[in-house]
Amino acid sequence: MNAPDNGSSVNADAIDSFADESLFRAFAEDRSWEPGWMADLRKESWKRYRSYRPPVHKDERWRFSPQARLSLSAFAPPSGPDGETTTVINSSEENLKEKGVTLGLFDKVLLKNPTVLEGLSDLKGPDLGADNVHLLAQSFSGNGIVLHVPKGVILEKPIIVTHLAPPAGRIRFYRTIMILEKGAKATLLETFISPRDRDASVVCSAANIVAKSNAKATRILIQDLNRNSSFYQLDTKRACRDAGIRCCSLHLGSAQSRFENLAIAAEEGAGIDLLGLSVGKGTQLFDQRTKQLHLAPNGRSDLLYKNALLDQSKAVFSGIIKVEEQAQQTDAYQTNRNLLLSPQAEADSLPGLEILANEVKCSHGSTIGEIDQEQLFYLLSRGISKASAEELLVKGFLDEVFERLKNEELADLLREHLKENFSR
Amino acid sequence: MIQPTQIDIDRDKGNFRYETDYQYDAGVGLREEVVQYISEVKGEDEWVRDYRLKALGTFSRKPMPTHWATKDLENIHFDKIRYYLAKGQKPSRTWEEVPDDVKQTFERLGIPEQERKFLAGVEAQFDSEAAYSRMKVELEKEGVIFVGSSDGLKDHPEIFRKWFGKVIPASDNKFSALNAAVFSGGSFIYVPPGVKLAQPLQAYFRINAENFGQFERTLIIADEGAELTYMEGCTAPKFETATLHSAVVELVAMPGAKIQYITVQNWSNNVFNLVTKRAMAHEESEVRWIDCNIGSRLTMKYPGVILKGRKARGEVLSIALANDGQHQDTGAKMIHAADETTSNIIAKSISIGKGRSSYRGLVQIPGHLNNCRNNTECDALLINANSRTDTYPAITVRGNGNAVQHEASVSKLNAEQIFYMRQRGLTEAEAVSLSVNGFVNDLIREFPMEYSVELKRLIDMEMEGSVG
Repeated sequence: MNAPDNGSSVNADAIDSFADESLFRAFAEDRSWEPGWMADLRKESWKRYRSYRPPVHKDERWRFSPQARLSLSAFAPPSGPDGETTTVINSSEENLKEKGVTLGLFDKVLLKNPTVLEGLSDLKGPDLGADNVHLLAQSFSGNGIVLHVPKGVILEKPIIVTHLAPPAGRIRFYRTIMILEKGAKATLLETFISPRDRDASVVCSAANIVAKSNAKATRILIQDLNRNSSFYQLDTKRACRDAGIRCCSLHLGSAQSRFENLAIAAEEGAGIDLLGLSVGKGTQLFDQRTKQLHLAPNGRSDLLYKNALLDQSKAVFSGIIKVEEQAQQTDAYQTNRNLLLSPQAEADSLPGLEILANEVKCSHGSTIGEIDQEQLFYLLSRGISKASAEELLVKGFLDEVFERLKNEELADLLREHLKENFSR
Repeated sequence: MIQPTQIDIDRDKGNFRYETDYQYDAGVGLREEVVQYISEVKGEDEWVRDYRLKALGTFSRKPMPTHWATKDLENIHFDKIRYYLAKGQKPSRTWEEVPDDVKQTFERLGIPEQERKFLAGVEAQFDSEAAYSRMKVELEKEGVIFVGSSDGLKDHPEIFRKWFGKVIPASDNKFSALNAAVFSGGSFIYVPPGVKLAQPLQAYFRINAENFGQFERTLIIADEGAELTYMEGCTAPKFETATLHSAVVELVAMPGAKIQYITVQNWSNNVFNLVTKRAMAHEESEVRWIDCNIGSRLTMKYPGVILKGRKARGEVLSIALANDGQHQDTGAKMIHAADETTSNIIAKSISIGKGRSSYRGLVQIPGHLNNCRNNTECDALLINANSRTDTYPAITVRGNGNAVQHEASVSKLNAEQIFYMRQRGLTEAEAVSLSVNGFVNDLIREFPMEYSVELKRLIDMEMEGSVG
């Protein structure tokens, strides 16, 4: 009956430099050009952050997580602009303007086309444990991108975005706001990298992806920060009537990362695919929390998270499928597979189901194991060296995720990233 | 299509109640004096009393586990519960010595006297004291000890003290602490090395007083190479106010031993059934929990096995059925602590009406271990539109050559199957009942014959009125 002791909940006092009033004032004053509602949202979020008290009891949402490693306390909050390049947008799609598409840096869109962002305060965080970090992201956001695709517009080519980590000792919050109106279609590929090899810094990505009726959104995230960084990924996805959202997160870098992912099938017929892939080396930590929330009938969601863990790396997966009473005829699946490639690697898996409707098909599966010895033997007997045989089998294990992307071009791009990671 | 309907089951079924008079009564509420009183009435040694008092302190310090468990626990009023009642008689030895009214109750339970003659040893618990206990002479000759918990501590301290509270320490959780403070009743069993019991040992539990909590303590030790099967069945009368049942069951399987522990729980719908069950499995031993939960308002029970010796094996087979107003929060714990240990969990749950069933599991394989295996399967069946099911497993794996697989699925009744059976002339209720029995059939087969028959009857009874 006792949950293992994983330390206490996040200590609000530990990250108190963010609660410093003069600092927040200075930050807000720098941005006096913002529309009033944005300033209000910042202030409101910051106030809520200040009064935020983590749950007194051991928090199930942080079970198995070495929270101290994910603490922000050692990092300085963002101040004014530091003159560094933060985000580069690359789109080969033409005539975006003519099509009425808004694509730009968060700040620039806020300045030039603030109406697109007016619904920002309704875009909530995933609420899966790191609520305080999301409040900070709302308070201190200035970086990030906005993609708004109007009704019926289809963008064939992916929009490619690169985000850079801040200098050592600093934290940077990136917002990703992707809104597809009725019947729109777009693909967004975001990569997070460190411009310097050793700087220990924190990157927090707070994304909201909204697909209105019949829209099709694809979002790929590649996290390849240096091995001294911390990474927070706080995603909220919302699929409306008959809309489809397909997301894939590839986690290769950072010393420790926390990934919270809330996917809501909000209206009838919504379909959501969630894919995740992590390769752990050294003492890397991947802390993944997901929730598939079904609010309406005939929804579909499918999650596949795969982790390959080398050395002393550790992965925590905690996922829940929640099917509300009215969400009949829901199909929801959740699969977590972990490959332990070293005796010191650790995988913790907490798959969960909460089903309140009866006409549903729901299942989850979780495995933690090693390379199949028979498969390895087969390859060895064909004269393949042990190292390459193992690499082959690991790639085979991970490739299922890419296949599920159903987009060869993107899959190849991700494979390339992975290959590079293996050769390092 | 099966129309979801409101369910109205006659709760008076199985409503056995007879007036009983109690000679010892510790009064209402939980205070140090109550614990002292219980210890005194039982004539216990000092170390037992100290153990109880220490546990009482632990109980009051520990918070309710509501950060993960249901808030319904807050509806338990510890100060309104009677913690000890007894008829004030020594456990009877022969059938003739058993009081008539007790016999009458057993009659209502459908356990004919004739059948009992075939049972190897019968330990029938009437309220907190064993009212009837008998053991075949052959068993005694083999050196098997089968006594009540108080007698066990009094007469055989050299055997039971060594393991008492060792598998489940009083501080394990709030309710194990409560049990340690006020325990009475339950069985203590010791099977000497190499003795293999062909017939199962049994105990029937009953509670029969309003506001009455029952806190049995069971400790079973199977010495090297010994084998036994223990069966525990519960029925309880219907009460107006909630009752609390909080047992602690400890099993110790010495090297090469095999223990099978079977429970059929059918408490009435106002009972909080918060039980801690755990086994310690030494080298090459095997422990099997077979657990069927049909009654109670809230059951929280996660039978566990600590796989302490090399090649030990643990297994939990669990069936839960949650009807209106019921929450079956059951599961299993497998703590691997030695190389080459294996464990298997198969859990099936059925939710009817507004019933809620939850599976909660824990599988742990730490880093220094090699070649451990675990398999977990959870299947849930939802009968009505407002039925609910949850699954919350927790798996931690490190080490070399270890593999764990977990699978869970949720489904509803197969409409095609029902159609097929209806076409063959079965009524809808019969078809549903058959379908549900089919769902749990492969687990029910694991029960001894008379239990599986009884189980099927109980499931049929619960299914009545859920469709049509």
